[in-house]
Amino acid sequence: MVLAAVVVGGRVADSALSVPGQPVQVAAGVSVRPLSGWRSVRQGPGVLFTRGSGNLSVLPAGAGADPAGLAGAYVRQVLQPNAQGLSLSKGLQRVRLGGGQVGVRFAYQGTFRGQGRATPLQGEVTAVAGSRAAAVFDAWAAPEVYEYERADVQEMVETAEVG
Amino acid sequence: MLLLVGTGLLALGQQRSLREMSPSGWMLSWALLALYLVPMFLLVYLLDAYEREPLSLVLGALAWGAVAATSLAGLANHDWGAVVARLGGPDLAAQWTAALTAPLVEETLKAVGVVLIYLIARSELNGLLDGFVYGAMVGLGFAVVENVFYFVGQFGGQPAGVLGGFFVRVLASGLYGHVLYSGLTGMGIAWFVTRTDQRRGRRLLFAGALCLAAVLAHFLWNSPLLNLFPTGELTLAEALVAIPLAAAVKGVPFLVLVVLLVGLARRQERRWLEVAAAGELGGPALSAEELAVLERPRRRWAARRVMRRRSGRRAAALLRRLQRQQLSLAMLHTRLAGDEDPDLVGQRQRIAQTRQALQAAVAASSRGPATV
Repeated sequence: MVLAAVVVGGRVADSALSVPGQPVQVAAGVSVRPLSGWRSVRQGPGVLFTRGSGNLSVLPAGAGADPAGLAGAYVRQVLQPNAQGLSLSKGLQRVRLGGGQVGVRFAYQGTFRGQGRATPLQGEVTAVAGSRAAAVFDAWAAPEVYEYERADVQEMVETAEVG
Repeated sequence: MLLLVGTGLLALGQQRSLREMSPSGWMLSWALLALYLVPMFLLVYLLDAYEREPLSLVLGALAWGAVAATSLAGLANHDWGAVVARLGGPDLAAQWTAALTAPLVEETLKAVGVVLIYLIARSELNGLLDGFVYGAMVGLGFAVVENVFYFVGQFGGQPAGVLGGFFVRVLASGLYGHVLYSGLTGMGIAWFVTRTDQRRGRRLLFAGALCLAAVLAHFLWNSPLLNLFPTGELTLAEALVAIPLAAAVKGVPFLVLVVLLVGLARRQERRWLEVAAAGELGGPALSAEELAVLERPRRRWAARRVMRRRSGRRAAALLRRLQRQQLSLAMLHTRLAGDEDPDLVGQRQRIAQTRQALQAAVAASSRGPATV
């Protein structure tokens, strides 16, 4: 019993504490349910979900896009122009959302310019395509805290509706 | 056993991943850690000067720490870390998770190993020192496997990183970690199960205090409190001085506490031997002079050295056997009620045979007569 409480108790407590809120509509066919503690801010065509130290930016894309192509375009158009010493994880990891949509994911690390100063950041980009919509999810935080943001942002991505 | 097999498969998978990350780093990690494992194993195993624990149980304790406790801790630490992040936020989690989760999770999982040893072989856990030996073995297994993770995963996995990790985690701080924490927890468990002369509440209080001390020492080690470990670029000379000093600030007070407690436990074992052997004193199996030698490991070694010099290796080996049989006789007295129990009678007969063989070996030696 002690063994079970120690090994499984954390997972049970974590699930009990992570309460998804009402879905936030990002664009037609794309919605995200922020977990408790996260708030949403509209940013251009997308929505930024943040809880201070961690962020999840969701950008909608056109229907029929290829997830790997979306991920590559995001690196070229968003990450590379804003980062110094950008390093990407090897290859693309396949992911499947709760609704069955498939996507790809990669991790990155680099120093990003923003608010007048360069900040080291770690993050993960997930590109997902459904039948009627597609989206790029970019989650990031300072490298020392990203490990503690990952569970939340992955859950928000995996419960998102795309298409 | 099922748990060991299940977690063993998990552990094998983890080791395979580490080897794929850096084959040379992984090999070097295990080679370096063998240099730590072997002497620490002998140091702990030989601590109990009167009744060595069965090797099968000692290796079982080591395996529990290395395989089951590390694998389960990997899962549990991650999940409890997520709970800390939800309750306190990621910034607090980044600073405090290692201190808030690992001590409770890891000390509990390691303690389960000692409890299992007790449930498997109750008669083998019959003193504080036994508890320390089993607990420290669980901790030693845990420390070795955890260090492989650190060397490959956190110190970069390349040979230079692995050597750096070995310096920081073993040479500078290897004396302070899991071996001491779970050794102390083992003493707590041993206190609870052996001090049946005390009331249950009192036993629980003392055992709980020892286990809590282990958790608190682990908490302090993992927390940002008293953290004097240097950060940033260091010269080799600075690293060689600053890192061991920072480790000593956190580790030495607890090391002193455990050394004192182990010293007290060894003194308790000596008193136990005197009491247990009292019924045999003056009989054919044990003389007062022999008991005086038996009580001190150094005197036993010295007596065998003298015997080897005077009467040869065979006589010294027989004296060693005689001493072990006499210690076993005392141990039997603690377990058996009557003086004429068949096990006691049989042990006395074995002692008489060994004594005869020893006298014959001494007489046959060409180096002159000796009395036994």
